[in-house]
Amino acid sequence: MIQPWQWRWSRRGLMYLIIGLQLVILAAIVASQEINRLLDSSFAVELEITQTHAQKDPFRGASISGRPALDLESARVIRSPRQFEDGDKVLVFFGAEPDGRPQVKQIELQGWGKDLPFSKERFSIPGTVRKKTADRSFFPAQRVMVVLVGKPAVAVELDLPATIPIDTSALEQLSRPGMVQASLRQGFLGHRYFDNIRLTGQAWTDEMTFSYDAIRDRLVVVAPEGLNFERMRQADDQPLRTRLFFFDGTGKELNAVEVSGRLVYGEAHPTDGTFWALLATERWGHATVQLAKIGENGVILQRGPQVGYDRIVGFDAEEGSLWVLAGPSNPPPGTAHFVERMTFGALHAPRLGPFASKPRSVITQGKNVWVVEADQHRVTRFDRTGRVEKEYRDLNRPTNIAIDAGSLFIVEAAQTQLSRFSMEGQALWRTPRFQGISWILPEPGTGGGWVGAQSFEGQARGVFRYNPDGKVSHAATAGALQTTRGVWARPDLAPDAIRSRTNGRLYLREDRTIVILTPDGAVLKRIEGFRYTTQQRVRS
Amino acid sequence: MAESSEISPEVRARLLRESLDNWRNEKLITEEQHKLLLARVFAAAPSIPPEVDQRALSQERKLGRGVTILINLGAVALAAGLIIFFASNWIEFGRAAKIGSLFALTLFFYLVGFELTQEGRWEFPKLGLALVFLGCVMFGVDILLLALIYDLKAEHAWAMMMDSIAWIAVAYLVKSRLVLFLALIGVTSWFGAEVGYLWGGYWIYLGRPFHFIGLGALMIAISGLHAWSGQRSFAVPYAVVGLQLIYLSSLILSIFDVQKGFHAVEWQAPLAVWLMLYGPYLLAVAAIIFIHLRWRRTTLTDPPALAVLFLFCLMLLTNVIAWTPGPREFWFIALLTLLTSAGIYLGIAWESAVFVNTSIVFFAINIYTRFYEYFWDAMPKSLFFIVGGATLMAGGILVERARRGIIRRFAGGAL
Repeated sequence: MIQPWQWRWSRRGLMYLIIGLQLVILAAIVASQEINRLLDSSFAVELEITQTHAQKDPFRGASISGRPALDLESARVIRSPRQFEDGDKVLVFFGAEPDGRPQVKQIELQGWGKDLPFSKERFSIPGTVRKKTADRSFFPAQRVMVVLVGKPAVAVELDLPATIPIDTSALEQLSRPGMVQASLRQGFLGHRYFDNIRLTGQAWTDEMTFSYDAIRDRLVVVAPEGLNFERMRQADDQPLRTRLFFFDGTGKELNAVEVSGRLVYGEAHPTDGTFWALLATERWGHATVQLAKIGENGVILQRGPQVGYDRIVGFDAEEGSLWVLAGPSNPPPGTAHFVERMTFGALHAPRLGPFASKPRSVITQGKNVWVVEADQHRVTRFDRTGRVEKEYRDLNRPTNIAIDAGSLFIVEAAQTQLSRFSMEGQALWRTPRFQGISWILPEPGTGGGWVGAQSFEGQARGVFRYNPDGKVSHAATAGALQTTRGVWARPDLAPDAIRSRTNGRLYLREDRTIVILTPDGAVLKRIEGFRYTTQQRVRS
Repeated sequence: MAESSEISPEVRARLLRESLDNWRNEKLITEEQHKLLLARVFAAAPSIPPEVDQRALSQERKLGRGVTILINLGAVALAAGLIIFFASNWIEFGRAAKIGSLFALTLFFYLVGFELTQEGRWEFPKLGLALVFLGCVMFGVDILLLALIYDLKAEHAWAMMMDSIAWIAVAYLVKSRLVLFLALIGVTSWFGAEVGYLWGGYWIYLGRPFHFIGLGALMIAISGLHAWSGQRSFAVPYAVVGLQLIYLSSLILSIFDVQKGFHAVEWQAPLAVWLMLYGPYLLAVAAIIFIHLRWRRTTLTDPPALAVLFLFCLMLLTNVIAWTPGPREFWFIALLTLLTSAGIYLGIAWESAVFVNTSIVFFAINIYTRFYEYFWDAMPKSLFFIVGGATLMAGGILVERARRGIIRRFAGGAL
């Protein structure tokens, strides 16, 4: 028979054993992470992390999250014969690119000796193969990086830290989207981690717009300072600011100035280079704006009268004026609409109209003013005195137009068709089978040009080249223009694509990034933010 | 002998009697020794009128309950204070301090808690169990916080499985029903997460909640095993959690045909999911066979045994129905009605308050769910609430009276 003291001892022993096992489990979690870093002597791969946002929570403390600048769609370079199974643990090998993002070079199943040491040329990130993205049951978790490799594409969730700890003192500097440089380390036990975290620049929000200064061959990015949650709570005390970032034509950072107030959009004057912008008059939104002239140092030199933003249908930096609706933007049904020019003084002649519906846009080019009426399926050409020269009626809901080589190019039919008309109104060709044409840029004097679209005849989204005869081909290399915005989603006044008349380069908006393409369609540079001249450590 | 003067002779006799019962149950003493010692206790105890004994016992129990409530409240207040202290200062702590405090708190709760239990050095069992419970919670929190500190990917299923194993071990070692409840909640969470992730869904994915029915059946079978082995206090948590899993899953399935909405029938479940769907049923069958062979208190032709077999087949059929295309809500309504009715019957037959109470509650929820489904649109809202409220009150009084009558008739040893 067991004596009570023996029974008690054995129970205590068991309990201590269970407690000990629990502590061993906890210690294993801690030790695996600490040893991974303490004994790591791997080569540090420098990675840029874009669109970083700082946050602070009671458990993690201050940290940043963002997306490492990796080329994640590398279908063309993968020639892996193996069909990976769902849940396979793999290593995704990236190769350094001299002037671009690291690209996927190889994918291998994880195994003993497979995790080769990092080098200058290549590094690897562990990942897990997931079902194809077409499968509805696959929902990659938020902030998990998914690389698509092979054809048909295999999705691999990359096992990278979702957040990187920073010093609390660095939070203020990272209150706006930032660009961070970090060293990716292999880890002694193979757990990847980042160290040597440095703030290198400022990234942009969705409110970013850009324009091109042809006189100085420079790109101007208008970046209103976003208000994050912390700032929103004390928004009334915070002055609103907008930063103007200047880049040269190749995308190299020049300088930045700060403008007091929130700019909605701006363009450089094509002859004297002064900056003309729309300045929001309220703290939130841009229901009413003012035309403003801004000096080189960011000082507002002149302001116009307040005008409702939804009344503005055209921006003419050359004349330093706006095209605005003469009456309210939503008058009673049946009321005729008129368009007038507005400068710093007041409304000016000519008065264009009447129009049966609210014009979508007004474009000034050469001796003519063009008015696009999507609801009336009409484009009207006026002379500078306001006299109607020609109405183009044989259209299907036009949204964008371009004038070049004695022709009118029109995006119509819910952004699915590109059409060319002669000045006399004769349809020269119509090219359907597009999806989501978001912009059109003619190549001056040739009759050809470029459009940005979600797809054309099943080809993936990108920049498409149209020839004078209406034939269309994929223009840009894969990887350019990873996203396009719908015409109805973006601000009407801010263009998503600009062409430099002097050197033929194309400047395209891709989400929060500006992509510079050479005249032959190759990616020259991807501008994801403005890099400072010095880097600042954000973790001691 | 200060203790003798503080405790009345009748209470001391009761304590001795209860201790003797416990020692016999724990097989520390034999039946003969138990009888012998019991006889001596009663021979030594003064003759007490039965009404006096009952009154003293009642007072002592009330006092015991009061102390338990105070101790548990104190444990909750202590835990809340510690949590607030650490939550307020957590962000100021360095990584080493964070990890050190997690380890220290866990160790403190476990060690001090265990030493305060009956098995420890200082016998203050109520407080000891409360602290051990906090230690268990702390272990779960540790894993979560370490994952946050090191930014590890949240492997809910893995973490919950470890938590559950540790909690079950502790529950049996210190004989705590509270910890066992925590462990069973952990097991349910782990099971839901594992099936959910393997099936391509989210944590505790309720798109196909019928997988919880099998788990519920297994838990009830384990409850039966505990009842057979004389550990009736541990049988209750299994029965409560098992019944709730079965009834809640059936209720959800009878309200929304979520599977159809998510086109689950078109999906392919991996082998592991199939094992987790049908494995619990196999284990439950094994447990039932074991109980039947070893206990021998019933034959297969007894109505309760037949009811159990029928319910088992019904639950298996649920899995088949769940994979068929077309409307299935009716099946699940019938299933819930049959399950709750049979649950009440089995509760009466087995004299189980847990079965009766839980089944009556879900039977009523089922009726009112149907009332809402069929009459919300058809009736004026005022009438809907008048009829609903009046029947709820009348039905509640009638059912409660019947339930009390049933429970009163049960023998003391029922679940």
